[in-house]
Amino acid sequence: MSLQWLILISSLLYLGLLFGIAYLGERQTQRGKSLVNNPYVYSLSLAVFCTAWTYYGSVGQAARQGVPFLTTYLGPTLMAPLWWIVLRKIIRICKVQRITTLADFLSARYGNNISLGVLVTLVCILGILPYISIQLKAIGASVDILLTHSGQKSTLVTWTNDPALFITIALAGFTILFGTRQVDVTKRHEGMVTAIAFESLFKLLAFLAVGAYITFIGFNGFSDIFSQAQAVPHLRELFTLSPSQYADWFWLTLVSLLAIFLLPRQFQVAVKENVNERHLLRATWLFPLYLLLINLFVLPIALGGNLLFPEQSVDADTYVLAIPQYFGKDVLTVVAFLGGLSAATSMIIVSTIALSTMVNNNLLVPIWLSGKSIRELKRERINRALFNSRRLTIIGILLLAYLYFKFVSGQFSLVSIGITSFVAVAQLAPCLLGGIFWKGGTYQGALSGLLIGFTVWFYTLVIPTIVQAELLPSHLLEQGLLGISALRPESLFGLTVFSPLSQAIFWSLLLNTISYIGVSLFATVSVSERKQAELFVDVFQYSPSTLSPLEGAKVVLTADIEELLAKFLGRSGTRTLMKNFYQQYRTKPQREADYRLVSYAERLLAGVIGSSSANVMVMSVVRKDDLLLEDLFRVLDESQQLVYANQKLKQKSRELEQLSQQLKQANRELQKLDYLKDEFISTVTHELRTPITSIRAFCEILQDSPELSPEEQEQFLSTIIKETDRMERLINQVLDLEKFESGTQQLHLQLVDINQVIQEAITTVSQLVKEKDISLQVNLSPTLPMVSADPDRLIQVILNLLSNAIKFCNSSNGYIRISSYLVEGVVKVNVLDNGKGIPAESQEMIFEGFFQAHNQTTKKPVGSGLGLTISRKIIEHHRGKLWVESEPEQGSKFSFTLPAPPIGRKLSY
Amino acid sequence: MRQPDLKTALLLIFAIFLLLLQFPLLSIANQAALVAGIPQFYLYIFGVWSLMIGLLVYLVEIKRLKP
Repeated sequence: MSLQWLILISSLLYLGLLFGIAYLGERQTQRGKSLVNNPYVYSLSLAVFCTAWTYYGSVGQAARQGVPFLTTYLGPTLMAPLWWIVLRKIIRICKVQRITTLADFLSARYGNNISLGVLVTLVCILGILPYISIQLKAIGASVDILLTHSGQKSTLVTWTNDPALFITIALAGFTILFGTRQVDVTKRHEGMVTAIAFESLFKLLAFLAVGAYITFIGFNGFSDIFSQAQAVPHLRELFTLSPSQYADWFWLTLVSLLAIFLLPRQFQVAVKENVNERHLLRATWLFPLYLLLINLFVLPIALGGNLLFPEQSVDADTYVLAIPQYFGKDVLTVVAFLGGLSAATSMIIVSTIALSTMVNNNLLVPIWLSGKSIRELKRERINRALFNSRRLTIIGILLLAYLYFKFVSGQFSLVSIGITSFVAVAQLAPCLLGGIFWKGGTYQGALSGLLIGFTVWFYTLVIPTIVQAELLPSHLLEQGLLGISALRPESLFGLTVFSPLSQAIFWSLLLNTISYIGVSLFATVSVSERKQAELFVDVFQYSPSTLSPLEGAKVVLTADIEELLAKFLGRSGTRTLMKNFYQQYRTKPQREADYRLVSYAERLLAGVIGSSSANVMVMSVVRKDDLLLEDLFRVLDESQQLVYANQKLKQKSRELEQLSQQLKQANRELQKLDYLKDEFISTVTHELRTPITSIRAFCEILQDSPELSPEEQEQFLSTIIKETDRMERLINQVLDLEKFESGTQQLHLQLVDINQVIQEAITTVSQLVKEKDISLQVNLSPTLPMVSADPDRLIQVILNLLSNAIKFCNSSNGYIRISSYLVEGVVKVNVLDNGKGIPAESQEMIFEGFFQAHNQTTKKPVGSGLGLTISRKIIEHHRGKLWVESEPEQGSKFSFTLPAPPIGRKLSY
Repeated sequence: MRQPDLKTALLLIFAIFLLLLQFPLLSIANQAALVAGIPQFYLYIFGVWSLMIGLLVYLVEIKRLKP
């Protein structure tokens, strides 16, 4: 069989297989066993990114320039981790708002603006049509090269004269069949996606087969090819980047990074055909892996080709075919050809569907609907018209691409046209990314950014190609527009450090972004636009029911809505959809449609005719007389008041919270006090019981034992008296304390010489001191002022401190020092002993009542346990302070201060 | 170390590999020499690329960070 027939038959078989797979995909979906609901199929469908440019063009580029071809794949690889952040948001927005194309997306974001949709559509058409046409060119060229090399070109079989036309017709058929099945374009094209996933797998395997054959059989593995190439100076250069290429490397990576989600075909497969957001997660690593695999053999094939065809006798773009053919491997050659065919066809199919939806929703439908009243429209005519216009658009796009291939693109390489397309769609990046992350982006900003970016793109990248085609004079490139050298397209504004391509990317994106942000900052924003901005940026916070195209109290009749839906979706379809709506929102049919029904209808229509047209249609059934500006202002005003009231409410609740905190705190303190009181009472009663018990015991002994000697009786009676004294003292002290705490204690203040009080106290305890053999040192300042104090109370304090010191000072060689002096306007008295000292943690607790009682480390409580508590109260009532400084085993120093009277009253003696 | 959420991890991967695959770090590997029979630059790019895929597999499939 001749190669020619082999190619013809295998192409037909391949296309037949493609139709079959798409058909299978559709059928499985109808049976509820979707093949597309699967992260692997999703990831493979994303590989529609790899076109004939990848398949043939990368090798060509690598053969001519070396490593820079990798930027086209490193950009998307770098973008992949960000998919979960960027692409997921876009997917969610599109699902919620039933958006199907990029143009729809941007026009919906910026207030359902038709002109923006038109502009985006035009950008895409101008950017993508040449790109489609080079796929046709690649198919044509691949057939050509096979036949030329096998010497069968002369045979007169008509299709081989124009294989591109044959493929164009076949693809038009495929696209119409599997791309326009339903009126509602938000329905997924599962058959098409299945076929695309298959094509992605096929082209990868075919390329790997060719690469592996050339590397391991044609040559002796990677190192053989590389070491042979290294021996040739101009091939060795392909191993590295020259320093001047770093800028290109960066800009090309950036542009392809943006292209991976901005190309219409990528938007179609990644966003519109997405079944489940979570599929993105697996694609995050699967897709980069796909790209890595398909690039693995590019450089070896390129170098192999350069080594095999040293005189550049063969176009490097065709090495993938030419090398297997050179080795005489017919089957491998056909497989390589079919791989290229699959790369080209998948791109053409998806791009055509995406572009035709865009053209329909943003150009044709608005034109067709404009000026027509809803009442004139007939349902059958609408459906037929929609289907026909979609089919015609598909044919039109493919025809235009074919014509472009025939008459224009013949002279450009795959890569240069591909990159030009990438830069065109990259212009959508600022307004798209701004649209989903920045609420401040406005319609005017988006429009001006796009216009400027697109103009710069056209001027710097398209004009030079037109000049090359000799359709424009060459002095435009050399001298710039009107002879102004700053306007030379290949070095705009005199920027010459970058290559023509890099400066085009730099200027177009820079000016685009600046004007998008700049104009947005100064533009006024309409209410509906602000609302859309909110819904896009915060999409994860809103449910679909929040969407409302109507602001204010405008009246829409349910019947009108139903009528409108029926026009586009049919009577029975509308009935089902309405039933769904009532079920979903658990409401009943009403005469007037509420905002949820209106937005539901708008979303349904958006799936058929695009969001901006849907908005126009829904607005057409809104009662005109209710569309008043005043309503809008009233709503705005109301919402302002709401915001204000809300703030007030928040403030009040904050205050309340503070109050309740304070209340809780007070309650805690009360509970603590209550607890202390209880504890105090139980301690006091306990303390009272001890003397009572002993008094009672002695009384009983006296009563029961008349035979006791008088001495013994005497001894018992004196113990009873002592215990009674102790009780009395305790009771007095409790009463004292009670008086101080309740504030009823009166102090009999008079001017007192504190040294005199100290002397009196010393006299009182002198006997005790002598008995215990304690050395008492007295050190009183002779120049103390008189203080205002209650002398009886004061002596009580000093006696208490002294008796404590006597009690606790060292038993063998006890030592006490008492001193008084004037310091910083207060009279200070210290009582120092050399006892065991008080641990730091107990130094405050000893001033609380009955500390000893709770901490009976000593054998027996000495004293009532209230002495220090009362002393502190007394000093505090004199507006003084009483505290202790002590270290264990170093003794303790109790000090108190009393305020000295003002200088005028200072008395000295 | 506190386990980062998926978004942070993905952003970090993006930043790190952007750095690794651009000037000036790229220039370090930019040599024509052959390492194990493969051009050093080529080996570096594919190595970094594989490393990134490996990291993504680890985060998404093995570690299963909360999205």
